[in-house]
Amino acid sequence: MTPNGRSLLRRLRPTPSGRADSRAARSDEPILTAIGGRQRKKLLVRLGLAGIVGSVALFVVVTSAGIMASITQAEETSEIFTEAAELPPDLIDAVTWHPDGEDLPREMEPLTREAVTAAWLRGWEQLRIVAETGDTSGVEVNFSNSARRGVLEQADNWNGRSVQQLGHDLALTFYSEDGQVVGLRAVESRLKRTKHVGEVKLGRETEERYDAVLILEDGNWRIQHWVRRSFAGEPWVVETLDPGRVAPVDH
Amino acid sequence: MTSRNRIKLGNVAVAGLSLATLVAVGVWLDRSVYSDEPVAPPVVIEGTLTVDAPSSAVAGEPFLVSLSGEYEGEIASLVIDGGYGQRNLSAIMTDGVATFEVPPWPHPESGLVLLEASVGLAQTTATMEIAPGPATDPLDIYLGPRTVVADANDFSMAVAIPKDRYGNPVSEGTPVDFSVNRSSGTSATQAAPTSGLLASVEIWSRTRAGRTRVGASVGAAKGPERSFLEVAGVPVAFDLGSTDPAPTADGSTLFEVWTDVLHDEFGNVVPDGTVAYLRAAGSTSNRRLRGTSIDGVVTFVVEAPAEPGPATFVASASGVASESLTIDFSAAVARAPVTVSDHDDGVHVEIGRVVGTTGSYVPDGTVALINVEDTVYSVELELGRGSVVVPPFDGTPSVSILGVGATSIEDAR
Repeated sequence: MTPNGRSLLRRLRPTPSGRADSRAARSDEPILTAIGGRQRKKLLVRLGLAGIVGSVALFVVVTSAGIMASITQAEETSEIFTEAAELPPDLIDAVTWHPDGEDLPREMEPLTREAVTAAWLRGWEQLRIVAETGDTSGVEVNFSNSARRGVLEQADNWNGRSVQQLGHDLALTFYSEDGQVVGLRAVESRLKRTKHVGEVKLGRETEERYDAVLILEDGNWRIQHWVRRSFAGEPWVVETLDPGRVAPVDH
Repeated sequence: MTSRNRIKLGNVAVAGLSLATLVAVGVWLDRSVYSDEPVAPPVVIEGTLTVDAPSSAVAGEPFLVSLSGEYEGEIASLVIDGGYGQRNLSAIMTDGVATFEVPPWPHPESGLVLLEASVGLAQTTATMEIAPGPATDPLDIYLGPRTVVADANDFSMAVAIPKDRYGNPVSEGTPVDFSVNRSSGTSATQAAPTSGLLASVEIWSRTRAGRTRVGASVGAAKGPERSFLEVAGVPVAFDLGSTDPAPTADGSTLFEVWTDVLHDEFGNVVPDGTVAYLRAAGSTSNRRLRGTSIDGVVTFVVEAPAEPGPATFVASASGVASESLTIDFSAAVARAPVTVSDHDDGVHVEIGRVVGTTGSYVPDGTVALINVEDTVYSVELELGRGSVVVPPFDGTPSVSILGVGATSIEDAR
């Protein structure tokens, strides 16, 4: 306790006669007036401290609420950090191959078909990662030539949109004699496209057809081209509300 | 009320004020963030917007898209989804129309493009075709296998994936000309249209070995040259040759056995490094040697046998066996005198000096075998001479040097 505090206590301590040794104690003036200028300052200090404590508490509560909100709305958090190289097993089962044509230059080996299937799935998964996170570090692994350019040069334009693969019906259209070039037709790629309009998340399923070329480079199959040939989509539907989400800016 | 009580009352008021503030903030946040109050669910509005866009456009060229709907003064968005990604445009709805001047897009985008227009939750989607431009340099050309057999029954494949200046694969059916230049100096052109984004041709081998060069072009657009080798196939039957005269059977001289120039039925010499095996069967042992061709000839280095007599050699390459070659190796020893005398420990057998057919002592280390009463003793010769003491015996010892017996035996016992 400060010397001033001790002095104040001394002055407020009752006298043996039972009366406080203070003019303020003897008067009926309001408290702030009665306790004098020094006590008024002390009260102001206390109010200031209360304000600081309140502000800190407010800051903590707001920050926690923000974190909680972001966690609850990011249902795709685990998906975002799924690397394209680690394909979910159900995706492998979501691919169906049409019978190969008899005019193929070469019959495709089963292991090669698995590798091409994985490359196709990884390509779409990589596109989803680019759309949702902007991370382009894996693009070079899964795309080459024009496809790599196409993905990289538009990586910043997704603006909250995304595309998720649901399944593919694939047909082999070409397999070069030396096993280096594959022509592929995604007879039907079933995709889930999503976007945000303000706090509203919209989604729809689409069925699209693609022609594609994959090249075996450095022992790794890469998508060199894909060209969409047809499109059929369900109407957009509202999927979720993301309160507090900043609306994407389309420009 | 005393001063002390008044001060306590002040403290309580301050604490209460702080608590009330916290409670109010908490209630506000709870209502704003975690509110369970029913909110009218938003609904996507369909059918209130109409997109007017060309059915097709050429890649890299601008085009106009207009959006009509009764959303006066609101911001309309147009997303152009080209497969690899998207472009985003926005415009203000004015007099019920928003016009988007889609700028040239110098990146891959050909194919069916989605035009997704929206004003708030009003959505509509249209499609249009972005056609690729003409093919441009360089063409992407792949070729393989890089080695085929020059037997007019094998082929390599050239694949071209032409694209326009923006990286779009060219239109289906675009003709691609493949030029094929043979090692003989002849050239030809094979044409194929693009299908499934690429064009390919099979280039069949001829009967002359050499490098065949392949190029591809689409109009004025060309690509890098690729090539493959046409090589000889399985060699035809061949003969063997060897050093003449053959060395004597001294067990140490090296001599060569070689094949004819290996060539296929069309006269193409097999590539360098073609493997052949030589199987040798002689009086001493059987051997199998490996050799590789240089300029079509496989040469084997063989050690002369240690005993005179015939040896047979047969080579094989790519499963084809040569004619058999037989060499009769003559004796390497011209004179081998032996002297037998008494010794304190038995009988002293002294050999030498042994002279070879070349007129010199046989090489140091040449082994002489002495057979005494069915027991064989060996001794290495040095300067053509060697000796051994054996247990006492009667009769004449049998001596052999490089398969040749003693030319004379002097018994001094």
